[in-house]
Amino acid sequence: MNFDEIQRRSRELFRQEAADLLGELEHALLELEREPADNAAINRVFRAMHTLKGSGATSGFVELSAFLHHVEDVFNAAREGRVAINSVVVDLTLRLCDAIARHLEAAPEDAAAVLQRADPDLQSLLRFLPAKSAKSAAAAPAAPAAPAAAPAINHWRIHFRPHPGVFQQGIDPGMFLDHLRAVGECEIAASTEALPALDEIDPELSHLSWDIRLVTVADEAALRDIFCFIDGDCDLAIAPEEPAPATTAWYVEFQATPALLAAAGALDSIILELSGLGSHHVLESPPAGDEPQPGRWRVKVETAEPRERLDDAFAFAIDAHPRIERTPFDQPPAAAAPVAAPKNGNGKVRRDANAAANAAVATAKREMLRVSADKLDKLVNLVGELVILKSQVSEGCNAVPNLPPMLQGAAEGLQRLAFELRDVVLGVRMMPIGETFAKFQRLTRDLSRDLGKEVELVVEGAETEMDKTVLDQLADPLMHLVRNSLDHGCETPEARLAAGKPRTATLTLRAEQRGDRVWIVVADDGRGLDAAKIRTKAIARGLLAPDATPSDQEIYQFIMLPGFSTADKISEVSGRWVGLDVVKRSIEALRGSIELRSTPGQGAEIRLSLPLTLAIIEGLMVRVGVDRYILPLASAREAIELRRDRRLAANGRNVVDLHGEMMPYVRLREVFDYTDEAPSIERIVIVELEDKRIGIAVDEVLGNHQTVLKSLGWLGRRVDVFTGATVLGDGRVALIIDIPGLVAFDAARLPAGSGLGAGAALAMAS
Amino acid sequence: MTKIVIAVDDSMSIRETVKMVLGSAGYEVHSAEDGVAGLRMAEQRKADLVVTDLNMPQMDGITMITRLRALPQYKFTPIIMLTTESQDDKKVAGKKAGATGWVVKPFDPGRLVAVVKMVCPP
Repeated sequence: MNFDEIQRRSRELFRQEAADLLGELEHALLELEREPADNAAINRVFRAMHTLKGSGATSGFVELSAFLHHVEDVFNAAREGRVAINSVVVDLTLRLCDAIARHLEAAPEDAAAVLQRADPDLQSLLRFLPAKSAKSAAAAPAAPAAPAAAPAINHWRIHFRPHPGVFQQGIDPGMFLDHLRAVGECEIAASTEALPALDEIDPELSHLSWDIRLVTVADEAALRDIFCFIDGDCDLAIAPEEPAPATTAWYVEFQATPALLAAAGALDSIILELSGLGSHHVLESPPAGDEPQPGRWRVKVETAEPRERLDDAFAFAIDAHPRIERTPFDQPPAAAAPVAAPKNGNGKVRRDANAAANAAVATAKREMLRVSADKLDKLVNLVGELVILKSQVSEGCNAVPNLPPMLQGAAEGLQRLAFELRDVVLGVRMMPIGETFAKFQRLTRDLSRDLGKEVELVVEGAETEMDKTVLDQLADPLMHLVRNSLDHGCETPEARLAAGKPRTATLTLRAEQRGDRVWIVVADDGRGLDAAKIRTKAIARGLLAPDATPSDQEIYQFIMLPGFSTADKISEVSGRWVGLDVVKRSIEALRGSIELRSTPGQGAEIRLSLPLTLAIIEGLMVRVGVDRYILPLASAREAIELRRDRRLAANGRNVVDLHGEMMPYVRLREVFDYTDEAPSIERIVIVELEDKRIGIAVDEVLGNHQTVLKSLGWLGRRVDVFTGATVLGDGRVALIIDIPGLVAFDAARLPAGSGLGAGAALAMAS
Repeated sequence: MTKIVIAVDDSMSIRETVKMVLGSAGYEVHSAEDGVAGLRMAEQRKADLVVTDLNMPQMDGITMITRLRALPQYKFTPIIMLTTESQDDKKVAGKKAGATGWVVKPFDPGRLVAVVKMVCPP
């Protein structure tokens, strides 16, 4: 991953973060609007802006950062008590937040214009700043980079002595020396003068100093910058040094004769003498065996010494061995080439950094925490398959007599692991509902203001966690419910005061986990529903017999029927609770249920019950004939016996006496047209559906079954009776029953006025 | 052995950027979102380097640096501050608390890598 790629990802991450921060800003601003002197809220606003600004600049949103800098000024002044927050300030800031959100979502070429359009708001906000003229936020063009001057090569002499205590700042003086080595050619000499005797050394203190000769393109300021972390904690002297005399490269060639080789140490002497003149490099030598071989040598010597010194050195080495006949150089030393300029330190650093960057892409990916939902879905699906496979293994093992204990152990281990894995994977998908709720603060504020109402939104249980898929699909229905409450439930302050209620209405969003379900309540203390009007309309539309006497709570359920409220929007039902059927369908699609309660004059409450997750369903496996079905366990309450004689005695009306109350039931045998003989004693599983009890009659209850939900795909898209299917351990398929769908299907199947309990029909007529 | 870095910043994007940048440079980066979490993480696992923001909720960076330096295992560990703009007073306070050095935000990835490689070679 190169830096461009990092920058790109960084921008993406910032967009995500900015959305969170803007949410937080909005939240804090709204609090501030209620309590303008709330210092904690001012600090939260300031901190969120500060983080936005800093992160934005780091991620390359320079214009945004400049823009925020001005906004931040206002809140910084507020922190210091120089600016008083009022609703205008809050309002302007909220609008600027919206502009920022648009800026972040805008195409790159439009982004700047989006911010510029917000400049009037910014200017208005900045007028609140005391004694400071408002400045335009139009980002100042970046200073053009100074044209690169031809790098001059400098020679430096540096003395560096860290103060003794530097180790305790995490400073290793060696790091500065390493840095110097990276910027040029270095000669470093350590001085141990100040080093105490061994038994007096405090190993936690620094005792050394260094003298460095450095040849580099870096200037003094750049070198001082290297030492900036230790500035004030060291003695540092940097002074220019006269450059060393230019060196020349000489090529020395000689023939190693057998005689020379025979003279012990002669060859070593030659090399030693040459090396004494400067740096040397053997370019060519005879192939080395166990013994030195005769042949041609070619040595490069870089030295500032004149040519004669080379001759002398060679002569000196040979003369030490008088028995060797001295021959002059085969050729005079080749013409000298000037020494190369020192390496460009910067170039080197850059290369190193790139190499390291390429090597470790995998590490960075592993460290990422944000994972796309698609991948998680795939993972959940795979884990589902694994759990099914595990069931098959378990059943297979159970079927084998005398299973080797090893295999038995492995099967149990697999089971444990598969369940653990499933829990972990599902846990990853869980998100607190608070973020979803938080979005409604702004909606409540803006909408209630537009409507001329005063409404306070109270959020409870924000930390409750739910599957992300459920949460995502919940946002729209919740939005609908909140709007409905604001629009139709809450009254104007005048109406409230006239009714003897507090001026400000309260809208409550509450979440709480109950077992494997989450309950979400949207409640207001407004005027509630008008049962009489709904009743009239229901009768007019033929949904209710004129002489029926349902309870008020039952009457309220009518407004969730399709078309009941949407058909004529501003209607007899006081334009109320529009489109609740849509909400109901969305919630039911999430395997949830919706309940509505209202007390006239005191408010209305919508209660949603939703599964924690959609991927797994806790079921009760039942048998009808040779087939298995799964009933969602969440709705199952108890199971009772249904004896054949009792059933027949009810004259074909599917009702049974449950603790002295008549309860309707749906007999799967009848619904699915089983023709084989029913057992003499059937079972009724009692399920709870919107406060009512309904029985589901089956042949046998087999037990709990946790199962991975598989969609029926396009084949099942028009089947309301089943939510899906699952593969059992033995490879058979069991259909998962959708209880509301089943009850509705059963009601539709039977002729009107048949024995099916009116309560069920009323509740479910959809 | 891979060097372990703890990155402490209340900004998610900065944390993730630091993770990506240093991860690419061969460090193993763990992150925490405020001083309290950073300190807890540092106590649980000895890091070779700590990179921290200064302005954070719960516990600010300077307090965390002071607390870290008081831990025997962090007496000599390099600690890099991330400072917004050139807050010289913050820098001085941070140095006094025992910080090794700083990187000024907004930082470019190369600068961060250079500083980190300098104080804590991989």
